[in-house]
Amino acid sequence: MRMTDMLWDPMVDLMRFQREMNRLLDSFCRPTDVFPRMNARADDEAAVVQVELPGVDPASVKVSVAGDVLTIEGDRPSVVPDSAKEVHRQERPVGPFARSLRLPWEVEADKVSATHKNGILTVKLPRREATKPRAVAVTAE
Amino acid sequence: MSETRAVSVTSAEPRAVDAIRERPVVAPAADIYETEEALVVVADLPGLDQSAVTVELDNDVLRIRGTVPASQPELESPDLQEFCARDFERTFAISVPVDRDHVRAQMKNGVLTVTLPFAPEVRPKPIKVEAE
Repeated sequence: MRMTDMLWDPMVDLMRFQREMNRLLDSFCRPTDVFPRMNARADDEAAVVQVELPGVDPASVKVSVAGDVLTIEGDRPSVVPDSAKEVHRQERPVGPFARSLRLPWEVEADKVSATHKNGILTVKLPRREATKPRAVAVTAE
Repeated sequence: MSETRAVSVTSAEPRAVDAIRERPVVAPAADIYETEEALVVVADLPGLDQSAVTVELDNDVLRIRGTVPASQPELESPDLQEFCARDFERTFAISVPVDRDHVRAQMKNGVLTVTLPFAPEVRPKPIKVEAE
């Protein structure tokens, strides 16, 4: 080992500190500012994606799959009527939205199902059969 | 109209049974507007149905509370997590007189709409001009 490798490098400790802080912060749930927010989980067989879409008519949401990419598109209308005399506060995001999510494998597009309940859209995506890992039997000669 | 954010869920009286689950409490995003007849408060409460939401008008304070039901399906250890199960609470100070007996609250697609009709005395009233 060269001598220079052994010198104390303050960056190493700083980077470690940053890593530790990130780990600590990740243990809390921090909602993000995007619309719509998504939670997703995938294993080797299927994926489940939950999307928060309060105030969006389920019939107007477009869910599409291309290869390994899921896309959710729609439009959230403003609830404030044009005839409103005065608007005090408008915090709820409005307008068209689109979000895509890349999955770890290609999706069996015909078998994707989507349900909507109380403003939460749940999309179930099975993995395409042909992309699943296949065990190969080893035979003795 | 002024507005306050609730930061605590502790109630004034001790409760016989307390919630076991610990979860964050957040103030829901809200729109507030006035029509000719009413003050309307709209709040996003995704994942909740009407049975999970309470709305009360205590003097001039409108309080909205939403509790995520235990039966709410949650993704366990998600790979991507942008939201979490949380309870909602927010209070608003209502500074105009409202018709307290006709306040309506409605839940649809995870959105709460509270309509507070103005009290008759604050509604614009046409006054007939008479000739002398």
